Amino acid sequence: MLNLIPVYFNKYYKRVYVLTLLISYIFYLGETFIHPGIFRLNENIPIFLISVLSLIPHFINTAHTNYFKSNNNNVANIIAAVTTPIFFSFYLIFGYIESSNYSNYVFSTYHVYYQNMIFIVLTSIFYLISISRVKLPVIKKLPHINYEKLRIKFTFPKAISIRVLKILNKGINSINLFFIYLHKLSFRSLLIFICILFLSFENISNLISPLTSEFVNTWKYVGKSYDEKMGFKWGAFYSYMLFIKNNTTEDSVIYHPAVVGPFLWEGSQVVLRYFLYPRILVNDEDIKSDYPSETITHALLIGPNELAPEGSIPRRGFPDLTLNVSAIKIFNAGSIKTNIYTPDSNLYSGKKGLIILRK
Amino acid sequence: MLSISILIFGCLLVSVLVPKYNILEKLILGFGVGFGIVNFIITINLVFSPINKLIIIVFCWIISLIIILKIPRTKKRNIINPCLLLKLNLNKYLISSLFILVTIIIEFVITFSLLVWPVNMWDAVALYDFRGRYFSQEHTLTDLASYSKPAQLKSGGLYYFSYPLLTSNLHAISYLDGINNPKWVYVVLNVGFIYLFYKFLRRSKINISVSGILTFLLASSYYFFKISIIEYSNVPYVYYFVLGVLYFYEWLSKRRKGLLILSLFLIIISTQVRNLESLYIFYVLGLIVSMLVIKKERLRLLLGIITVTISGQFWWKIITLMNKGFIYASEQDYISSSIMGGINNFSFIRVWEVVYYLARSFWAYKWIYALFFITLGFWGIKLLKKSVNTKEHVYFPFYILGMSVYFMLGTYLFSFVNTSWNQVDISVQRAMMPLTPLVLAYVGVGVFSDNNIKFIFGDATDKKNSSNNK
Repeated sequence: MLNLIPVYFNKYYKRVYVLTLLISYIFYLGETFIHPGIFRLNENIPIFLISVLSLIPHFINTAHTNYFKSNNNNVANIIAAVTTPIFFSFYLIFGYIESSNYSNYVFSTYHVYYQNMIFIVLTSIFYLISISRVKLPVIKKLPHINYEKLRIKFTFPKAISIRVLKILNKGINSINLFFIYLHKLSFRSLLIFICILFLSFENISNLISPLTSEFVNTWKYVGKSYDEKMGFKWGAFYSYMLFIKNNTTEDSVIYHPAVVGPFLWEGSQVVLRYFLYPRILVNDEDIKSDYPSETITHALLIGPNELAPEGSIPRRGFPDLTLNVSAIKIFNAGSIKTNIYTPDSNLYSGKKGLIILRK
Repeated sequence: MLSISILIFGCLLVSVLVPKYNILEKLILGFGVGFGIVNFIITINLVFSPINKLIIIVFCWIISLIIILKIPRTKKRNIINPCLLLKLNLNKYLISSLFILVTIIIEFVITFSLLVWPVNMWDAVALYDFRGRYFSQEHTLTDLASYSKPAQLKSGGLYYFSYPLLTSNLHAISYLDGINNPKWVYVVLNVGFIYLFYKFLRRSKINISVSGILTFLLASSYYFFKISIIEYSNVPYVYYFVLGVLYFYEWLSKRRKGLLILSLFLIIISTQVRNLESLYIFYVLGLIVSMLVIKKERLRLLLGIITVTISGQFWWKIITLMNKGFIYASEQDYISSSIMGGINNFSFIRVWEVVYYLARSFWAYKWIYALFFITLGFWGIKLLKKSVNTKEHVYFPFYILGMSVYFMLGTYLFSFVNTSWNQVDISVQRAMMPLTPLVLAYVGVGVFSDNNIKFIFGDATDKKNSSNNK
């Protein structure tokens, strides 16, 4: 019975094979140019998986027969061979454009979800590999090349041009050897080979953008100061921390908010401690457990956000109590001369600063 | 001076354990082992007083001197022999040039990024680097424990004792040596790990091209890259744990005493990098099984089990107990409440949710798992043909399957104590980092080692041989 399956497939497989390739292409192009997920049955079952699974009968077939070994002019072979470099070039170009601009640039500008193009490339290569079991015209021994004749006179010195040509010759030879290697692979080895190939492609496709953007971003900051680098990584928060550091002495005791809602950074004592050490940091919990509040010299000021819902923490800002103060310094906006701080004052809305309680 | 003393001490120690390794391997391993051992001394030192540079330098030089005096003359030549570097045949690299070139480019970008940016990631800033800076400014563990006042328990006090000290001590050593950016340590560990992985494959009789490709697959792994450019403890953990596991496998193959000791050192040190995953449990189980099978080595293996267990289970708890007056109680509560929650509230729906969630997280490793199962399939075919040595097909799957099941069980239990259990994909993927090198090493030794080449090429080679015979 098992032996009958390949016989049945032999009769129709050539057409089915081309058809599955074309259907896969249509799916992927839709996923790339219309919108991602258009053909997905489920978020965990992408079309890619289905098209790979559709090739299983093909593998059963080739494992049992020599059918493809006698077919050099397979249509699917030609389609895959032609489309692979085109789609791969597109993928690399779009990847480059994306990495040299901003994340999602390609999609927002051209409405092309280029990341999906890698699946077309992978499928093409998958088909190419499976067909590479067909005997390809491998030149086992390259014809002798007269390097002297090929050398472009007066352009390169003799030694260099000969070396370049030798390297090219070596390269061609190794491609041929690669195909010879593929011929020799058994079915089980082919599986390992395909997995390694897919893993390499997945790794490269995932890595191109972060690798280039990491390099470009890092290159921009070579030779810059520590503050500039930290400013890039932590944004305005780092500048705010510098502002606090410059306006307080090392023996200051600073009152800060708890880690809630809008104050995830300003409320994190461990993060504040890294930037403000050796200043002592105090929050409401410390005060509740008998920390002497009269020793507090400063308080962080985070102005109310008027766009936040009424009664919410961001709407009230921090500190949410009236205080007698010595002075108030606003981050990037000078000082306010006042002796009292009131949380509902419009003076501080949307601003950050430092409340000096006592000097 | 401090770093150099530690490096020399580590290199000499490694030279005694694995004298046949090349100088570059000894340097990288020496760095890891040297700093790892000194970490224990610094930790004890920190319990009583601030880091005393003199004690560490004197310790390193005394041990180094003993090693130099003890090594026979012939071996002494092998220790610092720059000519060994010349044995790196560059021409060989050109054979698998493309993969090795891409690997070098990736490693270059990682090195470049690590050296240019200062310590900036959240956990690195708040925990690892803060502790490092703090210790380098003449503070002790008791001073650090002072942040654990009852009122501060929730706002960061315990946080400083949530991980052992190795990475922080590496930062502290850098600061004490006057190096402002301690991220050079991660460069050595990361690039060194990739190189040592490659050398492991080469020593396992895997040809240079396949070794190059497998190393490339490791270096180009997306999560490996993303974690490598940040100063978290995952890369040091992978360095110590995975190398410990690989050298133990090498010991099983070659039975050289030094390899076992080196492997034990690496695993013991790994417990001082991260104690959250507790993957050393699998190593201990491996040691127990080996002890039952290899009767000649029982004593050494038993000592190994005891030291690894003490280091993994008790060391950090004793240190925290000495400094804070109590063990990290919430950790104990956490574990016991999650286990009780898992048992009392057992439901198939939750099991399914966990499996579904993990399948989504593990999807990032789909090709790695595919490679693993295909390699296991090879073993199945080999078993049917009754033609093989099955050591590697038991050793590596034990870790890989064990770790996968362990993470599933851990996630299931975790789901009962934390409502956001299904929003930690990145953490799961980071915790699974040791999986990639282990699977790739398994594919290497299980499929591509010299013994298996004939099997891979299958019919083609057989036919060729038979035609030659005719």
